[in-house]
Amino acid sequence: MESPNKRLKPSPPEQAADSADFVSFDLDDDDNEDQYGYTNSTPPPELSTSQGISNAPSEAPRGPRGSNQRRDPRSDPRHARDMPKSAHPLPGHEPWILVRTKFGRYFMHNKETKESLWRTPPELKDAVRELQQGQALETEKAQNARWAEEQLKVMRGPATGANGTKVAEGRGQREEGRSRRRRSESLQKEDEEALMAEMAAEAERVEEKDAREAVKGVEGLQPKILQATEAGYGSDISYEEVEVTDSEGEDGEDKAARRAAAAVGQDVGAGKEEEEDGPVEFGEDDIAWQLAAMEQDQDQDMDQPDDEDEDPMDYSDEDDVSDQEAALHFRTMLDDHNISPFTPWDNLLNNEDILYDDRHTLLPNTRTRKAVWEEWVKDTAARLKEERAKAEQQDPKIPYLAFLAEKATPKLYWPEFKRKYKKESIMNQRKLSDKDREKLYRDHISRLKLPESTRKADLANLLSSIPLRALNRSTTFDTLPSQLLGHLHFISLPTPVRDPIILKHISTLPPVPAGEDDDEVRDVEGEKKREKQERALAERERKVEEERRKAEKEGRWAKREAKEAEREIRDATLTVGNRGLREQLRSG
Amino acid sequence: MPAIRTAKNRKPPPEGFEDIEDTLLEFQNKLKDAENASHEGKKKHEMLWPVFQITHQRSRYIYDLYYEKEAISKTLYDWLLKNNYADAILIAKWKKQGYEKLCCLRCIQTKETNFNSTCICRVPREQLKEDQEITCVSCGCRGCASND
Repeated sequence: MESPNKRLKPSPPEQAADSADFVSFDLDDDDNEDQYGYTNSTPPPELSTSQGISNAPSEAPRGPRGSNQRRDPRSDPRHARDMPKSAHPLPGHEPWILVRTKFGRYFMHNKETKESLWRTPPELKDAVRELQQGQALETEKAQNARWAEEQLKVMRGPATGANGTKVAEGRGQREEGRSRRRRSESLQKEDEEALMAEMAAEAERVEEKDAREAVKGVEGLQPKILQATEAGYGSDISYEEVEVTDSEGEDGEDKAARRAAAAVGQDVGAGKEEEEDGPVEFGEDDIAWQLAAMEQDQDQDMDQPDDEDEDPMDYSDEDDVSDQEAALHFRTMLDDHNISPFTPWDNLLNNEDILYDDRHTLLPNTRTRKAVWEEWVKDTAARLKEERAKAEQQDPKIPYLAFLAEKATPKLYWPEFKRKYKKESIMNQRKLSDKDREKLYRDHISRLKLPESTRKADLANLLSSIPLRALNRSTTFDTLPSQLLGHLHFISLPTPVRDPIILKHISTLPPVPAGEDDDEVRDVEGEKKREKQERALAERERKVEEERRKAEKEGRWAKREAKEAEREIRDATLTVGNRGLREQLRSG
Repeated sequence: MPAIRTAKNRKPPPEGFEDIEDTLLEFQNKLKDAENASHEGKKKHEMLWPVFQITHQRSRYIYDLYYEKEAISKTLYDWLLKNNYADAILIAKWKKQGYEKLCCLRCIQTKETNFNSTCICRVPREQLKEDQEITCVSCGCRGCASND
């Protein structure tokens, strides 16, 4: 067991940085190279001396260029801007180095013969593949580990103080700069998880106070994350080992790295060391240039399949809470916070109470949260609708009348009253129209002017008119029926006068009739039957009446026709010619 | 002479309006702020973008409540449309395949453009160049293709 302050050395940063530059590519697959015009088309770009590769060729590497010059698409003009970016020594094949260009292409370069080749010579293929595979695997993890380590140091800094940190300063800084830039968001998350895992693990293993203090914040998550570490970061072991074995400070670093690498069966270590020892060094302006290049490269880095594959996997590994459980927790959280299902999603995102709720982060990302939210909204809205349908509708008049009983006086006309209380919510209720309010007010005021005896009589009438089902001996003041509460006669007496009257009336009433509900049902049925009968009767009467009228009409028609006929006959007998009066007299 | 309708003698809104009233009021205030915002340092078109954005949000809110979440009644939805709380024509487009995320109607109006094409914001992101940031002139949309 080493104490944590000996775990200062992260895995050599050069390794991490360089290995990050690797894009997985298949060495055997020459088609691939063909496809991108890597074979023989343009020569590999010049290795400038500023690149720090000391014996880099000063002229363009000698590719078999002449034969292929006419193939224009291959000598893509944008390739002219390509430049070597990083060099990776090949262990075991000394003079050869693998160089990565700005555009993510690779070529082989021989430091001694100053020969550059796009195509990997067959004898080097194995070495290159090894280097590539090992480092590609290590890339993410080493990076995460380093970042986590740095974070840990930052957190532990104040506690451990001087004995705690002995970082290779310059290197650390520039490495940080580079790694920051490269980090995508998902990576950062992953890093944080790694950090937490590391902190938790450390706290368990090393019984050191400072570490505990640092960890305190995440103690709740410890067990979960520990599991996750073992499950998700299988090869983290190597990284741990790098750290714990590293006890001698700067000098031991390479050894430790090599030992660690050997332990996991990777050949990377040697490569790394050589790289560090070797002439490949970067000056300050190179770094600046590289950062610029990095920005351009970011897309390519992000497109690396490694990144995309790892993200979802890590989430699923890390969460020992299942998705359904997380969703359930999220829903209960929404219920607990009394969120209205009618709030827009954006508003929910701005709700700080929810953002700081632990259950909010159980679901891995906003998209899943939104899906759960939408489901929840649907369910809640449906439930609300049902509840409302079940709940009784309160007469909007009742609260208004209560308000009137309290505030209305005959001293104020309606407009005055309205103006005075226009701020009251009850005066702006939408369910009761302004007209109704006015009418009620005027009626109420006019009733207030009546003698008290009349009002008392009216109230007594009202009480006796209410059916026994609604008002009986078991009725209390809280359960008065709405027929009573919503009536003007109820409020027209002041409370001290009214209450005794009502109490007295209730005490005289019999208890609730037994089988009340059945009664009601029977009543309803009886009423229906009666109604039906009445309707039938009315119908029949109507029909009879119609027939009678029809008959009468026909009689009238017949009479009229008879009269008509009679007149015609008479006319025919008394035909008058137009030959004048004398003729007629003569014939008559 | 027609009867004068004021807030007081108007027919009350349908059931359930109280639930969304506050949110709608918020939108209304935002809209008012956007209308009164200063134009300094902005392009001529840019002034209108927040207005488009807020009306789009509000329409989307009502559309979601009715069609996706089924949280409001048909009567209320119709009333909201009638009272211009949501853009009915825009919503009509959202129901059509390929227009699910349409930002505004002007962006699909091909006759108003020089090459009889839709707005750039209708172009799927994968067909754009990488890292090409677009903001359409008519409503400030940054891309509203259905598969984005």
